[in-house]
Amino acid sequence: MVVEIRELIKRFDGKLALDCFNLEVGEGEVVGLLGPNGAGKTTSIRALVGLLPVDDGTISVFGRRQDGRDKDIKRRIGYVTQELTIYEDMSARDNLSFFGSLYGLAGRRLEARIEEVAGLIGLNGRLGDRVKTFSGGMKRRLNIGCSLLHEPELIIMDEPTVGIDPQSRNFILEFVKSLASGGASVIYTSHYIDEVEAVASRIYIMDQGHTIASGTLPELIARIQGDSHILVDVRIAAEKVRQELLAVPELKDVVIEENRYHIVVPGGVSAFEKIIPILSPQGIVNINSKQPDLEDVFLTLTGKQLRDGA
Amino acid sequence: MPRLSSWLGRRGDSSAAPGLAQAAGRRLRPEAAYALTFGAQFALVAYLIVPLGSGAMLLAGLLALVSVLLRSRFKLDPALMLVDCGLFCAAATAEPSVALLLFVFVYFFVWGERPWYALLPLAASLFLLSGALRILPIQAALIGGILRLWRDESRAHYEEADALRHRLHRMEATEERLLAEYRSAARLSQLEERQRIAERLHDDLGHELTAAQLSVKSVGTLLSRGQTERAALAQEKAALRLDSALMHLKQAVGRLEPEAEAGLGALRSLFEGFSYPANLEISGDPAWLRAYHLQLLLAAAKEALTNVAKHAVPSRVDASVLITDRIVKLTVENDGVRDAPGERSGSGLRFMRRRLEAVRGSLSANRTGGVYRLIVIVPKEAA
Amino acid sequence: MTVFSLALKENVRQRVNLILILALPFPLLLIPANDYSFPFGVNLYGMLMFYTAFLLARPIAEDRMKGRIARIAASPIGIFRYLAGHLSAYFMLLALQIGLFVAGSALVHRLEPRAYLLLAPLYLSFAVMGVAFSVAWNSLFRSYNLSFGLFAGLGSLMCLVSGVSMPLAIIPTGVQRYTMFLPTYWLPYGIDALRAQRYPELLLSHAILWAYAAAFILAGTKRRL
Repeated sequence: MVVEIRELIKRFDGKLALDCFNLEVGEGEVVGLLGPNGAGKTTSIRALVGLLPVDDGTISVFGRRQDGRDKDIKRRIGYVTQELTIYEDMSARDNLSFFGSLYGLAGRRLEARIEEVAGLIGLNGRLGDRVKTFSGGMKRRLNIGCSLLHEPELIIMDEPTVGIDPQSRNFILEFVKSLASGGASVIYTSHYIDEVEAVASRIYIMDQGHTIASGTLPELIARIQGDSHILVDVRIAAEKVRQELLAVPELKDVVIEENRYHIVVPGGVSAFEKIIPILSPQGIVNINSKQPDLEDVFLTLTGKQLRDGA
Repeated sequence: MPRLSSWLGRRGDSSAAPGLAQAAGRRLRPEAAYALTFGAQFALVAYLIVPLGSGAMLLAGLLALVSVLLRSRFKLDPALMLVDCGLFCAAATAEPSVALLLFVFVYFFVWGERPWYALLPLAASLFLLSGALRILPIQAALIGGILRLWRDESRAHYEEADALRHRLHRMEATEERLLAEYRSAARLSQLEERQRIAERLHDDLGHELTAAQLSVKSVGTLLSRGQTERAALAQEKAALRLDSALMHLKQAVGRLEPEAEAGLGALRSLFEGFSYPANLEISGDPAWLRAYHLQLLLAAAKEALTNVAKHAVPSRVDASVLITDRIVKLTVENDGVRDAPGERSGSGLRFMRRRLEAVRGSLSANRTGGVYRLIVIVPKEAA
Repeated sequence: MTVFSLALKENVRQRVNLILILALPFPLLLIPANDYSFPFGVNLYGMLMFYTAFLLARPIAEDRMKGRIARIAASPIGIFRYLAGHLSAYFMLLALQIGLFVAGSALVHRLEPRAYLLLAPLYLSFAVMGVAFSVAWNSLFRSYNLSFGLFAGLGSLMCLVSGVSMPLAIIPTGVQRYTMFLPTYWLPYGIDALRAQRYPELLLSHAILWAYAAAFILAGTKRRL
């Protein structure tokens, strides 16, 4: 077990940020930490890396207790911060050189690692350029690269894809997967569900400082007993028709989203033959059936949307 | 604005200048009070030093300050502070004004881990200072002591809260496990049920039907022989057997009409007895309703009504129970919702939802305008 | 690239800093001397140095304000090495400025060796205090612009009232009694003591400046992520 966090409690000025938080990461695993802004993801990460003292609970990394002072633990962790924490006025090479030296790398070894990492993150040709001239995606990649110079065994990435273009995003996601296949463990936090779904083998869903669900993706979805979502696009949606639909006993809920009826039906219940006659007069343009995903899991478990949580 | 605001026990604000009213409204923490009173006492001593115009006193004051800051920055052995204190006491014997600064050590020790160490600077300053100035170390001891008590109580409070948190967490984990077992128990009980039915059918029904069959056959034989009286008797017996068999069948399959009626009756009286005007419509054939369906419906209805009473002043509460061949759907709708929109569903509803999901049912609640609607679905089959 | 070289590089790249260090000391030398005290440029240089120290201390403040400190603190480097690297880089640049000014003063005003040999260490102590003050001051703010804006006002006031930018004689005595609490006061105090050859008082100024520096550094480097 690379990381074991048990019953972590952390307060800021009396307000609870982490409430009996638990987390486990095994070797070579990619663990996703999902939750809205303010859920406590960054706080838990900071405590894990040793930046924050905690009020109660234990954190063990590589089998040792994390008390914020253990240099050996710090040497084996790569922390990719949520904000871009690179020196914009310096060149990419200078940045990599500096952050490498923080981990004790120097001389030829440092130079070699800089070239290697630059290759990994796809910035080979731009090492001498000032970071200010980089695009958002390149900056993010450099941000990640600066944490990899010392070949860490545990890499923690705190929302690494905020505000970048799709190509860079895909690059980063693929990159994360390759890191894991190289033997490193990765903790990936995000409030983007599709990313976590794509990258993580196990997922923790976090809200208000607490893990509200954890498991592999299929496990989590099975927990909400597979509600089906039927999306019917019509020409013009009407409240009256919605009421009519609600009167149908099998339907759990009906929500109007512009010209679409979003109908929720419990798993295993077929309701098409009831829905279609009611909606045909409205002029059905399209019908879509949506399989439950993490967004739905989150909604079911917390009554909130992941996006709204900010 | 300066981070002093966060230091004072307020949450750090990203805006430039948080309102003073906001700052005043937040709770003061004992640590902040300690620092503030420290500063106040320092300022007082500074004011006393001014007439002396002495740079040496300023230096002594700064060194005392550095000594305290050092301890707040690093974790050092409290005994080392005694060394600092000793040096100051020695300096005070040579230059009595330095004794004014000994309050720093009194304050520090009283608040910290070794309150008894405060006796040294306290005694020294009382000895070396004269007149009204003696108040300085005494009030440092008193204020330090009071703040210390406040801090200890505050800590105890948080520790208790944390212990409760841990218990709560463990209970939630247990609850998860129980729900999982509930799910499998539901499945198990179904299998047991089927087993029981099969056995009874085999034992009781088989026996009765065989006997009835024999009786019916004997009726024919007796009639053909012209023994009408005995034939009638045999027919009666057969009829009795068949009645009995029917009864066994009903029992074996557990027809719930009486049970269902009792359960639904409880539901009805729940709504009739509600403090606000509530009406309940029940439609559909309750034949397949089992005990646990009814139990869940009842629990959900209770939870719904509790919620209504807590969060609304309704002029009407409309409820319906709709039983189809696959599900039973309970809808409870009320107006007059009082609380602010966007409030999360309470823990009672959350727990209800989980119980329902354990049998593949669901609970959804939403609110449009002032109308709150709760929909509970319990499917016929649990898994 | 070590912490020291990074800090150095960050400061040397700023043109303002280069002007402050290499160019601005020289106009101060033009202020004429008189018989009973050092040329006032000697005092006024303190204010220039104070501002320079503040601007040189920018990288540490920015590391914290831009969140880089989180990444740095997560590395095994340790707060001491980090601070030492930065502070020694700032100090080196300030020492350069001091060297230029003292050498210039010695040449232009033909000070005797005793004077400028004792002046340089006093300036160095003041520089240490200035850097420490800046670090502590910056730790109170989240925005560097706000920090600098307020500093510009406060710093000028401090230097004015304590005799750095205005001769002490001009300051009313009522105010003078309290100025001794300002760290900046102890530079002109030390300069006067040096001139009058009151060496215990000179030593006192050094001690007080260093004590202030220690207090500021301790207060300003409490971890604030």
